[in-house]
Amino acid sequence: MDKEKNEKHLDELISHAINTEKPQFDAEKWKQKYPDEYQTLLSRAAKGDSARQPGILKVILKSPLTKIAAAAVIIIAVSFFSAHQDSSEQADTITVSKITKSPVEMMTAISLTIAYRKGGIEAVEEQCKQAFKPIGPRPRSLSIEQILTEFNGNSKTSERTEL
Amino acid sequence: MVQKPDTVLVKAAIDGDADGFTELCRRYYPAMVAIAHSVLGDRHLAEDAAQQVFAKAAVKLPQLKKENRFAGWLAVICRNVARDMARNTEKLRTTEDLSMIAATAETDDDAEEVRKALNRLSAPAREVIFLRYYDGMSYEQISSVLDISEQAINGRLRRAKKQMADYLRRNGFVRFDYGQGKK
Repeated sequence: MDKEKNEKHLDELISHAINTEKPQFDAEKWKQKYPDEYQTLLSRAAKGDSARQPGILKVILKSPLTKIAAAAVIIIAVSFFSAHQDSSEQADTITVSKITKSPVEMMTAISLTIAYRKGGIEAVEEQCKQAFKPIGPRPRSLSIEQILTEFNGNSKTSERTEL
Repeated sequence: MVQKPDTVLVKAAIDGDADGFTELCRRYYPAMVAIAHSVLGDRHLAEDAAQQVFAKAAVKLPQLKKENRFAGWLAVICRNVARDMARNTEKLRTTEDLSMIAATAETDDDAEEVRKALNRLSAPAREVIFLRYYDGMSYEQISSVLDISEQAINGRLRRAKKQMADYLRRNGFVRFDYGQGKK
């Protein structure tokens, strides 16, 4: 028995062993057996076209051109945002470092700034005069140490001033 | 009459077109029965499984990402349904059923030996045999269902048949020398 005959014989054996009669799909029987699934299928038609509009992500991902455009928009937005963040952070750092050496200096700077905004350099001068009023006119011979001792009676401050 | 391509029918079925879906069922029912039969080893159970596959497909169809992969997607569902069914029937099988199977087998020894040879094949090899012998599906049709190339199907089919022939020869089919005969 040659190869072809053997192959044909095997084909016959397999066909005989498994029932190879073509199965037919009975649609009506299927609908009766699976009514819920069939209704699910039909319900999609009732939803209408508007309900089946593709999402924005699906639209973007469908074409390579829209993918590139979307990527470009994201890159621009991210770089703009990060640049804006950097500049505002830098500005904040400078201002804070200038002002927050001590609470007294900060208060002084704030009050002077407010005065300047309200009435210009004249208002600043007036603010200074008001600030120095409690000290009043003093003899030139008076040392800083003596002024401070008189001002708040703090000997430690005077020691520090000497140092 | 010119057949509508699968993609057109799938789109229609996704939109709830019952006729489109029924046409897809008619088109792929034999292939699904063949795949389920290769897992379950029983024609009637295989038909039940195939119907269940289309019930699942009717619900899950909107989840299908590529319309041109419908047949392959259906085959994946079919394998899962058939395996689940095989597990359940294994649990339900009684001694009476087993004796009935034995009685049927005794009536046709040759066929029983061929079935044994089929059962010894790997699941993918058995699947390709069933698809090929059910209604003589073409390599192109099998390719669309299994989502592999026609060359791969040819190779898988030849290896499966050779394995079967070897088993049959070892088990008394002395006239059998597939792949080793005169050229």
